[in-house]
Amino acid sequence: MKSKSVVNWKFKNLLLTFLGITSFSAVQAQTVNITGTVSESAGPLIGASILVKGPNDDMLNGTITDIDGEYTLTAEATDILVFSYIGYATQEVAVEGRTVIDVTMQEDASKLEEVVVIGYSTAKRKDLTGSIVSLKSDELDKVKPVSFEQGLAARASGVQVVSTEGGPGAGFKIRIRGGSSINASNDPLYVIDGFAINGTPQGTSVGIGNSTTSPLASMDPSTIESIEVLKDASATAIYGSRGANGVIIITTKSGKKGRADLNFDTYTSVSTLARKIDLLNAQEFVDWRNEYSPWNPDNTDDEFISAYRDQFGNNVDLNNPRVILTDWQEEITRPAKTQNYKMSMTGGSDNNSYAGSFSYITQEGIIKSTKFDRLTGNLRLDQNVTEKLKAGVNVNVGFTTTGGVVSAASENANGRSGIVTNSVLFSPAQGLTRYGDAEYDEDGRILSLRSGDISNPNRILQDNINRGKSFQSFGNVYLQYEIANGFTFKSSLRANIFQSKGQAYYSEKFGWGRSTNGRAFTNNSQGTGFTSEQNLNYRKSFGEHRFGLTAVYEQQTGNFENIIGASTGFDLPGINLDNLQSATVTLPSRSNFTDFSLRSYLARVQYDFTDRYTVNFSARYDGSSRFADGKKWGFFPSAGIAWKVYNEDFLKDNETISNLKLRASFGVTGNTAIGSYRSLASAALASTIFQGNNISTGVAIDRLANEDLTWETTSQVDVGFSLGLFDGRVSFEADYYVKNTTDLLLEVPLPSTSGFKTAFKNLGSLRNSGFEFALSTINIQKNKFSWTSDFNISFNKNKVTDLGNAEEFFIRAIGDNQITDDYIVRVGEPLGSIFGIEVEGVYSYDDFTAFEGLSNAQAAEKIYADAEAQGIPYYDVVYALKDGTVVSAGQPDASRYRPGMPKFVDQNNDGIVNSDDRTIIGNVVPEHFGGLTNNFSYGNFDLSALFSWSYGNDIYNKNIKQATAQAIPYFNKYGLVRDRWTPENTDTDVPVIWGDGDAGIAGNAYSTYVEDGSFLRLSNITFGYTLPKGILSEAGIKTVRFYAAADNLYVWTNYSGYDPDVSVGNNQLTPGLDVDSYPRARTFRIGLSVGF
Amino acid sequence: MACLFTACSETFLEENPTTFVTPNSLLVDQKGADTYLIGAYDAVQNIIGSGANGVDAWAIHWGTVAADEVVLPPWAGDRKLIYMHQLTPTNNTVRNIWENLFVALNRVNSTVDRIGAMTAEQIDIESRDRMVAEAKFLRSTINFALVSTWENIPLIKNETTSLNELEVAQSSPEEVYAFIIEDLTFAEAALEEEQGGGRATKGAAQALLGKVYLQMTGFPLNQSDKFASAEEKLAQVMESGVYDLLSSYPEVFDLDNEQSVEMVFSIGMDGPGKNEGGLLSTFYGPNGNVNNGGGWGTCFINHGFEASYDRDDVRLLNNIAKHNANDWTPEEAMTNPDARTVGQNTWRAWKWHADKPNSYPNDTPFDNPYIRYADVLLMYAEALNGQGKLTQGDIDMTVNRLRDRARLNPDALPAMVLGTQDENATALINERRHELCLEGWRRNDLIRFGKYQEAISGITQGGPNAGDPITEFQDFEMRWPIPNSEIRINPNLIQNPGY
Repeated sequence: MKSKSVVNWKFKNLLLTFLGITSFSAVQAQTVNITGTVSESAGPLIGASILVKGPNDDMLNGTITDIDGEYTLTAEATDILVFSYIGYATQEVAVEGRTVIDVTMQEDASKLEEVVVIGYSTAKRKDLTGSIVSLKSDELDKVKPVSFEQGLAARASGVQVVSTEGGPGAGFKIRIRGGSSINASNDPLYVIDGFAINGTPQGTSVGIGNSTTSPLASMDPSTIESIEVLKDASATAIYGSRGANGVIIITTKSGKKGRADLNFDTYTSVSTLARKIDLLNAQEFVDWRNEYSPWNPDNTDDEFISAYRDQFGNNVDLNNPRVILTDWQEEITRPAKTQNYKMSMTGGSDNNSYAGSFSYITQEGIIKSTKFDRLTGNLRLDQNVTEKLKAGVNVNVGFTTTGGVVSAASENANGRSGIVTNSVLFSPAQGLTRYGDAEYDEDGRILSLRSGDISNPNRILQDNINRGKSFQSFGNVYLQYEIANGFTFKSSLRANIFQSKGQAYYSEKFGWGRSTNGRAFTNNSQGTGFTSEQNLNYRKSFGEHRFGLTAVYEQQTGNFENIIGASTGFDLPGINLDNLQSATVTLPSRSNFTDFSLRSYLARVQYDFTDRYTVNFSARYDGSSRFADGKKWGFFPSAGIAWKVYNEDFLKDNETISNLKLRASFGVTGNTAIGSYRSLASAALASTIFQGNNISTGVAIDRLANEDLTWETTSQVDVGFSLGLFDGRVSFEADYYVKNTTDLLLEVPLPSTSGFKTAFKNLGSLRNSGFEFALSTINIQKNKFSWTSDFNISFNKNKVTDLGNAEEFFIRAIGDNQITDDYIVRVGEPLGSIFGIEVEGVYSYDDFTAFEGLSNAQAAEKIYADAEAQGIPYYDVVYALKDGTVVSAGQPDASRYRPGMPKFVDQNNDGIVNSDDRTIIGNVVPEHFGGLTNNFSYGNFDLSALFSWSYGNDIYNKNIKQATAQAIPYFNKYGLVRDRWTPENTDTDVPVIWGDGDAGIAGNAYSTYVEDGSFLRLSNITFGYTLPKGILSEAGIKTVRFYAAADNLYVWTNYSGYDPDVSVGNNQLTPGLDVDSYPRARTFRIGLSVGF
Repeated sequence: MACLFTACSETFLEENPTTFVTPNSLLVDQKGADTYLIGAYDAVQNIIGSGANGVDAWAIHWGTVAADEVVLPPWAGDRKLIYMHQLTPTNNTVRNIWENLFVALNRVNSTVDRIGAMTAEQIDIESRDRMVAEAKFLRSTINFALVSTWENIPLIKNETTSLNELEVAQSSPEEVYAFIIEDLTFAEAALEEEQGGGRATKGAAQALLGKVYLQMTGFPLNQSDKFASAEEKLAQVMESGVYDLLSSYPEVFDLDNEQSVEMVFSIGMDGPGKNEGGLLSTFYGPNGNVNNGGGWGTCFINHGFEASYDRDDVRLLNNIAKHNANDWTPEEAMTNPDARTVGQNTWRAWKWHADKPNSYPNDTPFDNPYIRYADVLLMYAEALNGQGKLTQGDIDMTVNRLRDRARLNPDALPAMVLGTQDENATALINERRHELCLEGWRRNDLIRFGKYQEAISGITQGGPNAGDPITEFQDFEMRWPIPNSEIRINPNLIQNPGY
């Protein structure tokens, strides 16, 4: 395997370089004055300490760097200077008679002293008992992702980040250690500067769209100081009620003491279509088309027969000026530009600090007219009011606009498909005849085909509208009072206000909109959230004992409301969304309001003895409005233990092992993410018509009360260890976990004789287990050249272990509206199981008595002869199957088969394949996934490369159904139809024309729609150059860095769609679905960062 | 906001939704009861008749798709399997119809129970009983559909109010029919004699009683004594003077005549864009663009059905489309023989003639006839014939009135002449097919007359690839299978024999 060999090779290299740098030399003693600058990659380091180490390893004197990172001290020429700073690797530099020694500090690879945010408090990495991944701003800043999810992807073990439909501004599905629930949310909890929001992507579509956006889409990832991913229960239980799917804590940047920085960043990028889908080209389409409609000189009026033929029956010459040729994928895409600007300012003194930034990005999508713009601003102020009292405010606002047309549509038929399906299916060659059920524009070009089912993609781009605006803000104020040394009280109030508006217009000229003379939709939604937190924190050391105590009272309320309007009938050209009163029909508005509240008491105790043994207990008691009376409260305890073996005497002086820590934890977390009011009975509006057309509004019972509805709980065991070798140059982290979710908030099927199809009950259980490994190495670290690597890989297994009274239930994915069930949740199987009919190729000549004893050529001859005799196309001639050959429910008559029809697997061996023979035909859960980052720096040059992969997962490519449908002559097809069965081309699995139509078992997914989604992606390469300092300091500039980067440079995959990183829609039970997904871009960027 | 800082009131975690009402808050006065009753009408609106976009309805699938009026193309999905008699207990359309009927039943039960429990302080008792009677009529339409289709069904008489004890057992069809008769008898007594405009009336209850009694004379109950009961009820409808035939057959299905005197009970639909539409002009409709008045090509006409019409029967022209809607208006198609250019294999069913142009894809405004006065007349003749007392006079005031109306010229379509009981029965069921086709009663009729298997034999037409439904037909397929999903979670249910 590729990844393994990379690691081996890296280890070898590492040993060589390790041996290379452990040499030193002795120089004659002589006292000198030494000056210099201590810096890190972003600029000077203030307060770094420098100690002078004498010949006997005794510390002689020392100093710290000033505001410019400069220092002065005296030492003997033979002494060694020890440079240290928290979070950075300590460096020892021999004076060797020099008087100027500049040092660039490297981050401490072992990160033991690194401070990690753990929820309501912080801890040093070495004291963690749980599994937490921490990403710092410099890792994000280097890559400059547009969204925070892109920055997180492939960088944290156990965290799977999958794109939804993939367009500009589209959301992601994030799974931390697998999905822990079925019907309640599987999305992690996001905590932004203390404010908790559910990480569920927001549905942003109006009309027929089905795209989602991240709840953090309005956030500029470059304002993030750190992202911590809390995975195990001892870390997440402190967020008890909502920690079951993991917690992602996002901390925004704050000012640093004693230094004022002004930074300007900009980049420009160009994106291009990374790969095209293989479609029949114009000639191949014409060939297929004419095979479908055989020449009949007696019927030249038939629009099908004559569409692509001259009057003699010859295939039309594509150079004929009357034939219009179009490559629709080329036609709808473009090289897309993105520009990004950001200005930020940070600074601080002894008593205050500030950080502010403003950024603007304008991103074009590679499909024409699609775009994403974002403006963000944030400001953070912290002030020491008195020695004991501290206060701060933090405001973060973002405004985004999206524009374009619908790509992922919730339905793929009846004129309601997205732009991609339209461009795939719209014929690449417009023929010579006019179709009766097509519409034409004034130039004679086809506007829409098949009664508006598919429309001209250019006209969709030109006349349809799908746009949105949203505003999101987070604000937070706090007061902190130090009651006694190490004992603080902090009171915080946080608010979140968001608002969004979506608008869509479907043109009155064609397709779906035409039937109602234009359709306009508007959706306004807004929400607010308030949290208050009262936090007591106590930290104290007594000799060898260290304590940390946290006690919190917290309350959260939130609400969401929306109003949706729709209008039809637009008579004024070009006037629609911005003048809804011009509509002749205004449909009833729909509105909705929900709210929720949560009250919590929580506490945590951290205790450390001799820096060797750490224990960590937490408990949280949560009351949620979402559950039934008397069932609202849940208790979520956790315990974690760590043994820092490296501090034991027997390892203390070990030169190889610099860190060895064993960890174990257990805890219970909950899930409330089911929406409000689910325990209550409800009635729904139910209207009907009297007297022909009078609408009367009524009410009908809609949901049964569940007076027992309560918490879904997940208990998790985690064991792991951290290992550091060679002074932190190799650090390795491994975890094994088992997560059991019980009392699932399950939408269980009820006997429908009850009058209800489903009810939310606490029933059933689910299990996730897996391994995670992360390895970071400093392969080479020389003065001018360094090379570091980070590698992570995750293995998660997911299994449904109990579904209460049911064994399984089915889910219908969006897309083609003929397929009724295509996913299944079944006991013993993982979530994300694709369900349908297994295809085992096509019927061959051998399956028929009529062809017995004939060669393939003779058999082909016979078919053509029979067709001629019967006056029908060759693909309509039927024969009898041999006795005992399996038949399909679509054609139960064994005497009406033909070779080339699809052949299905008769799972129950009853001789006929029907819906009883459906089985699991794929699973979207990868066997493993991960990422590998390599960072190089040489002098002022830096280079980084990120690979990511997923292995062993299937994708349900539902596009295939329509795009290979050989019953519909109008539509273009996927390239695989090239290899269709014909009397001559028999060595194939692709059915003959009308094969699926005649023998298919309608309403089902076939295994031919399931594809291997494994991929290896070169996600990002960034090459940067930082100007030497000397040139700049005179101009008053601290740093200037230029960089060039490429995103999504190459993907190795067998997947036939646009990209295997796909999961369209917001139904978490249909992951790995590709319907109409947005084509993926390859992006090249150049950028500039200037620091003053 | 104050609550953010302190653990103030105990109501902090309470839910007080403002987005929906509870029945308890609604059913305190007559107005609330009215509103709740409309919910019961909505419950049956889409499921009993032809359905709506995305709703698989009972009559269209049981009554028409699975009989001999239309054939289904290969792209018809689960409907094709219904047509082909390739049903298994996992068929999704069958499951949906079962589920939707029981969901509707519970909503109607809720109306019966809750309005029925209102007190004199809350509501005028007479009004209350009238509302309960309307709901009981609606309940009968559901129970009649269920027992016709599955025969062995759980008889659910009350609203479900708890998640416990949901594993009900089946009742005998006799018990279900008895309950339907009890409901309709109550309804008949409490309702007004009038054309209801989509609401249940005395006439509707009596006509449905007549229909139910007639169905009881056939498979599986075979109670021939019910012919007399049917006769009594149908005679009352005829004697009421409320209903009559319109003078022109095509006008019966006009948008202007949705609740005409011919409609004893017709389910209200309206569209487009109101979430109240049906699909009568698109599920059935000619070739051509839907917005020109065409249909979706969901089904095609059975050639044998077309051939059974007299050439000068207006119902042939009205009910079978041989034109392309892009080229001809409905009026031209009805009157101009040049319009009938479409090949036999793509003849379509057509009864509700959408305008050219129109704007309703799967959202059509046509009300869905449930019992027409023409049906009452035909049932009355059948009830008499079943007792062996049909006379030429009876025929003249029933069947021959319909033929008179359908005749395009004086020489066409001879009047029905009294024959033997068997000959009369054959003439009556053929007349029902010509008159009532696509209204969803064909399969019940065929089963009642014992002609089901005969009717679905020999449909082997090529266009488009209809297939022969009789290929593997066995007697047990007269009923539908109880959905597997239902049996799996309710061990007390017993699958119908054969499946």
